[in-house]
Amino acid sequence: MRAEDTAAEGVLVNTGTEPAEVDLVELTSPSLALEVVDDQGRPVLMPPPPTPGRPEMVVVAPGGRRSVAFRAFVPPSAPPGRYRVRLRYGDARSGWVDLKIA
Amino acid sequence: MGDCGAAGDLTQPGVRPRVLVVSPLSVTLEPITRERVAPGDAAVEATVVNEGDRPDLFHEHQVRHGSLVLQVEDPSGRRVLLPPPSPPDERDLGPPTPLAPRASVTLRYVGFLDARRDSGRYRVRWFSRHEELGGSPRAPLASDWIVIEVAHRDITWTDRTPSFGGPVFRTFDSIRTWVRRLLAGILIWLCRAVLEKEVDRYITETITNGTPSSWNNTYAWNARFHVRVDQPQQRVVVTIRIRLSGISPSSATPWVTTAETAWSNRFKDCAVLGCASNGYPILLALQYVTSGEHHTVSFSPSRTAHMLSWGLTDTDQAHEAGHMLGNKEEYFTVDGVDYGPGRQPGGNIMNNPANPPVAAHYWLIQATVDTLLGINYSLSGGSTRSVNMPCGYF
Repeated sequence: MRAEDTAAEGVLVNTGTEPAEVDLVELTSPSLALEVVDDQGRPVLMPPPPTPGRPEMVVVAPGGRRSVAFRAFVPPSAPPGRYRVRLRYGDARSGWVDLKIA
Repeated sequence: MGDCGAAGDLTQPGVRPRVLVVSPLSVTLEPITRERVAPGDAAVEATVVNEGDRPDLFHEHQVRHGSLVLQVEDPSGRRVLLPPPSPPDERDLGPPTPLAPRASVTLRYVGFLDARRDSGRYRVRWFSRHEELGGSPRAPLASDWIVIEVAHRDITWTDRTPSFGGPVFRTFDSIRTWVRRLLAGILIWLCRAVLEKEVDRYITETITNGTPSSWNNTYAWNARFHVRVDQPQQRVVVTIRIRLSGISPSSATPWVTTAETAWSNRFKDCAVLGCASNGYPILLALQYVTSGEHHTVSFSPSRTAHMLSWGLTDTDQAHEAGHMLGNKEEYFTVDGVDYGPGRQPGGNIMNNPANPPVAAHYWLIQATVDTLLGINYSLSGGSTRSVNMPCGYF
């Protein structure tokens, strides 16, 4: 697929016993919430992030989850090849997912 | 690094002990333009890092004058004399500020080579013996030499010509180039030229001290836009061509209004050699296209998510357009410069998208206009003025 055709869904799960506050600005911006590396493990530099200072907080109940959709999250400058992507929020990280850019 | 010749034990005749002091600063230099560039487009980026464990004084404003810190050698190894720096402003005359341990300052130098210089391999390095600029008389702060390949457009064309006709083609091409330059010079002189140029500049920024820390990272993008210096109409038109993804042009109309209002008719370019008594106002045009785009912007169903993903519930697109024009964030700490939190009430557009830009945000536009007009950027530094101020040519 082309970089602009990439699409992914990220899911943040509250595995704790207390409600957790989540900032949607941080969670929904690919520049802040996604880590993309190439097949050598080198980070792909993302476009400039959103301007901070206006958080959009939501509460995720214990055992609850919040899904976010990402589109065209691989920078258009990325050359064809294999990449890996994972979600990050605060100190939490998801597993890596492989994708191929043609 | 080096010795500073501090006072020592002089009790033994003939012995002059010296204390070795290691400068905590280091500097690296990299080209930031493509492999072969026209001389007027030569650009380098220096990164000064405090590798020590204590703050070190460093004058980050004075070092922005390329003529003070760049050494250039032509293809024959001769020193290239750079133009005099612009007069010091208030910040230049202020004291140096501490550069924190492990902090860095990134400095861009654009257009330090005269546009009329010959083709060839030029060597450039960052060099200073001044203590406020990180060096000392005995231990200058210096980067390694780097090579910049300078080529005029006509020379690139001639290189592709079959070898059997080389001398003929070169002669013809040389004549054609000079005629073209002469005509362009006459048109510029008569204030009747319409000059155009595509800009494509790789930019990076490293954010530290972010709160929340999610912002701490290194980001990269290409500043891409088209500049048209229209002498008959007495204006500079900057066009960013956008291909939309996930939204129709009619639905995305608010983005045009937001970006164009933020950046148009606020500043003017006064480096016009007297062709306009009041300078050339700079206008931004955000143009939606289906091909030949500078950037593809996708629709974000929530707020604006980053430079290439815009929402309809905010007006941060004006800030994102600022990135496309070559500007970095001005919040948190960016490339070692501390700007404080984002969205400060008095912050400029790269800090608070609700506010207007400042003259410095037109740096890449001005550099491009200067190149088109054959003016050395560093000589005409500061030629961007508010539209409400007179240019004051003489």
